[in-house]
Amino acid sequence: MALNGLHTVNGGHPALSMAEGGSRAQRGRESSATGGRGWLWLLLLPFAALLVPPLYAHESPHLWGIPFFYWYQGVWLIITAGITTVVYRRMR
Amino acid sequence: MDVHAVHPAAIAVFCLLFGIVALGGFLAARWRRGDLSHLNEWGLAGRRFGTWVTWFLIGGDIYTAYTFIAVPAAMFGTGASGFFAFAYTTLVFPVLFVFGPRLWAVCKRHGYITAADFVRGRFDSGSLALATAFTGILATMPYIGLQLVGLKTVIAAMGVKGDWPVIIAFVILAAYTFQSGLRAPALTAVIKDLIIYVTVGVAVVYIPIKLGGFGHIFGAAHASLAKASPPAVTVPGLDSSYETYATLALGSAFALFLYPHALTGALSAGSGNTIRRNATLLSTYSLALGAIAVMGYMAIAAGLKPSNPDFAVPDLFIRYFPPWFQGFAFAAIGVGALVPAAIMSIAASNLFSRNIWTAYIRPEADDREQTLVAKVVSLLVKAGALCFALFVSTKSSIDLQLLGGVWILQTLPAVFLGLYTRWFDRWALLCGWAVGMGLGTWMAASQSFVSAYPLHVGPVHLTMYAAFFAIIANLVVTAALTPLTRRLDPRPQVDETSPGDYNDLAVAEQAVTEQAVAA
Repeated sequence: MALNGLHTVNGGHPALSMAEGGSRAQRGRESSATGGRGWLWLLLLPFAALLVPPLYAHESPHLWGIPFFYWYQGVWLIITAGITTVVYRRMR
Repeated sequence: MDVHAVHPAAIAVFCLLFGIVALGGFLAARWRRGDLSHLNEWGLAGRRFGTWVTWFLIGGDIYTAYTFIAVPAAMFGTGASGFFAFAYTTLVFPVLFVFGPRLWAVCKRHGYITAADFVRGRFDSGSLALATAFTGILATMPYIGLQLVGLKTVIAAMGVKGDWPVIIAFVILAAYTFQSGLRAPALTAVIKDLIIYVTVGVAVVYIPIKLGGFGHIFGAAHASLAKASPPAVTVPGLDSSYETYATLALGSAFALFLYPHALTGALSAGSGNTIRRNATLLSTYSLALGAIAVMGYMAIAAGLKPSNPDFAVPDLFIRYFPPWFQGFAFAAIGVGALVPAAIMSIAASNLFSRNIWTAYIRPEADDREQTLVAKVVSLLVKAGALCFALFVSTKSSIDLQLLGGVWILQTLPAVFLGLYTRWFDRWALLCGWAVGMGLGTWMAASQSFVSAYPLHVGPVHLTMYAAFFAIIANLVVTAALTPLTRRLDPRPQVDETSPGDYNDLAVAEQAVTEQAVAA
């Protein structure tokens, strides 16, 4: 269910931007100015990882005594920061 | 009943740090000098903040005193379900990364100060802009009130009784915000965050050592929550809580940067790339939030029995820290109330001045008058929030803040989707907004203000965040009515923005060229 929500809210951007109505030339200029727009899709990974709690609602394995449920989400915070860094570098 | 003893050393350190922050707030008017009689300067600090100031400003803005009290209180009382706040503050960064620079660009290009300004320009609709501004102000007011609840909590924890300390703190806050505008919270946020990081760093290392490690803390919380009524868990099990957890995280992540105070923080950045860099750097605050959340379990492991879950963290500090460091830690939370309260009141005032006063009451108001109106309204907003905190019960404030999240998410189609498409019709957007507001409010109220609503349709049983159901209904109505309302109102919907205005690099370049030509 959660994943469906994600696709309706977040997944529609490329299609929506086509509805912008700008000329083909304009669109081409826009995308070359911002570099690789395709990299933005990477930003969906944290949603896939965190919006399906059955994936990670487990007691073990523990890390320093912390249940998996907690440190998994902590690791994904760090991965998300990594992903935004990569996307930023690629788009610049 | 409050049982906290008076700690003079704690109060002295608290007052010292508070004084430094107040002084910083007044001196901020001279920082990166600009003409404070312009709303762009008073309300957005000239849109010149670089990566670090923006980091402190947005961090100070979204990780509030109330967060630092309420998240551990939720963990203390209800276990794992309170931890959605951590997942949500992870997911908010991809959202900021995608939408932030686009909104920044179009606002910079057209001189928009608020999200409602953008909505009016994009959809050519004063009514839709008014709805957006109204929602923003409505959602922000109880949020400011809750900052005061956070402040009241730490002052009470130091054994000081009565409402007068909160009143004094707010008069000082009102005075320096009036004078310095957005520069004040930006500068004081730097001081606030240094205090917070030191406190969290010390607490998260020292207290677990005292309590015998994280294994023991989680074990004790697990055992104790199982015996609580209603019973709670430290790891969600095979019940219906998964979709609640996921929709709370998703809905809150999209709601946060629709709040006027969060948008004001993002719009005051000097460039779109400043916002993108912050989408990475701000995760350090989430790390701190995760540590603070776990303090709720530390309070359980320490065997604390606070009179009210809000005291879980303050009582933990009192148990393990010497009085002077208690004062330091409480100042982190107390000052943590002032920074967001200032930004929230500025954001609400910008909305009132631009989208209500100038749009409906005095269309001839020039920039100087708009700024004066915003400054005066910032005082009124804070006075209102103070009355709220003093005369309305904490429970009602929390209920209203919960509704605030449901409400603000209903501006998503016009603001966030509006950044990508103008296909939606203005009247359809307005209908969708009204349906979302009504449905969300009704759902939350019918469950006596618990964020999750159990939906039963035939064999389907889903317990999800009320805001999530409301935004789905909002989107469906908006999309379904668009072809219809467009036929009913055939006047052209003139979009004053063009596709190039959404590219932050191009907009920044153009601004530099225009400046060079003007010079």
